[in-house]
Amino acid sequence: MNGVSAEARTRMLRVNHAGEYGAQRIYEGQLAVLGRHALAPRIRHMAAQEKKHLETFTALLLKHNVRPTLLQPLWHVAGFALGAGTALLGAKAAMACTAAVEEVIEGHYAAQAEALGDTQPDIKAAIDSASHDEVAHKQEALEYGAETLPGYPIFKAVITFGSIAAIWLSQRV
Amino acid sequence: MNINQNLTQLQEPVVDNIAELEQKALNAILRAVPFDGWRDAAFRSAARDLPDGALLAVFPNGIQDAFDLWHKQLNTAMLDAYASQSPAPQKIRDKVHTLVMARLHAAAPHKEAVRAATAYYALPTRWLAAQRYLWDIADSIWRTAGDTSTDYNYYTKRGLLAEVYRATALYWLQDDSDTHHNTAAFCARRISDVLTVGKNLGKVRSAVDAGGDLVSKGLNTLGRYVA
Repeated sequence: MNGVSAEARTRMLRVNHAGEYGAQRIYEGQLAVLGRHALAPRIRHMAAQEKKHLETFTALLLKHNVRPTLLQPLWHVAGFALGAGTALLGAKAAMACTAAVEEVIEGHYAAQAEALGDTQPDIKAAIDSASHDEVAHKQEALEYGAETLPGYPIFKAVITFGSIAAIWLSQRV
Repeated sequence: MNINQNLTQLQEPVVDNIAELEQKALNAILRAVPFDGWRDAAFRSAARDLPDGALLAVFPNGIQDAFDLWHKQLNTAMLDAYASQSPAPQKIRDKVHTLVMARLHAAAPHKEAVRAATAYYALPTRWLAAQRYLWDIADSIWRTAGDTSTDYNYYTKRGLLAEVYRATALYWLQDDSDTHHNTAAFCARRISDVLTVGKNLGKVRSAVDAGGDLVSKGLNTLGRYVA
């Protein structure tokens, strides 16, 4: 028998909303640089999916009376900067960023799904659906050769740490 | 009297309904507060009107629990009064105005208890607790008025409205006009002020967005050189 406390559910919804907002900003940042690159249509597709996730979690946030993270203006800037900054290093770096971020998100959603079990079907469905897309994004980025980026392990470690810090903050603040 | 009789007495419920006792206790406290303030003295005065131990049974944390319950009841009364409005207000400013006035109206029978609360929460050590209550009121009002913001607007809207509510409540305490129509006018003016602030924030936002567009254009140019 699984399930989470009201407090845990609140945090879950707050961080997921913040995360999808940040993800959308990352892709917007990438597109600001790579808007005319051959990769652009694929990034646009990912961005469109993130937008749908964000809409779903926005609706859940309102439904469950959860306040949004106070750090939204920060994610607005940081997400875009991460997307644009990595894209400026090249398309491969952009894809490496996507692979690193989505890997963290994959684990994050998997942990939430496990904690929820059969409870909160509305939240669980949103997580499962988003998670499915995030895994596909990671896969796509890896297939593009994200891991062949010079210095990828360090690059990945930095972004993983940043993503985990952002999750930690958005759950609480 | 043997011990069995004592036990039977203990098992007999003092009241049938815990909510009813809670209400009785709150009413007793609201009667005492205008004289004693929101302090333990009011708790002790109220205890005289109730069965032994009843007050602590329903309000284990003392006067604070009573205030908390009253706060929630006023919120509920506000929402009920709003729901029964006909025709329902359409504009956001009218919705907010109706809700603020509905809450004050619900508190009107205990105006002196509100005055005592403003004295109690004027202490700097209780500042945070006071903000929490105001925030909760503003949150209830915005949710009922249909606010769906999930960004920084969520916070600016509630923060500004909490201040409107606080100012209006203070004005209302001094307002002896029929049906508090002066307060209603005061509240409408404060809401207008806040909407002006909102418009100015919108201008700041446009300026920030314009900056963002410039950044995007620059990035787009740089993008030509990206492999």
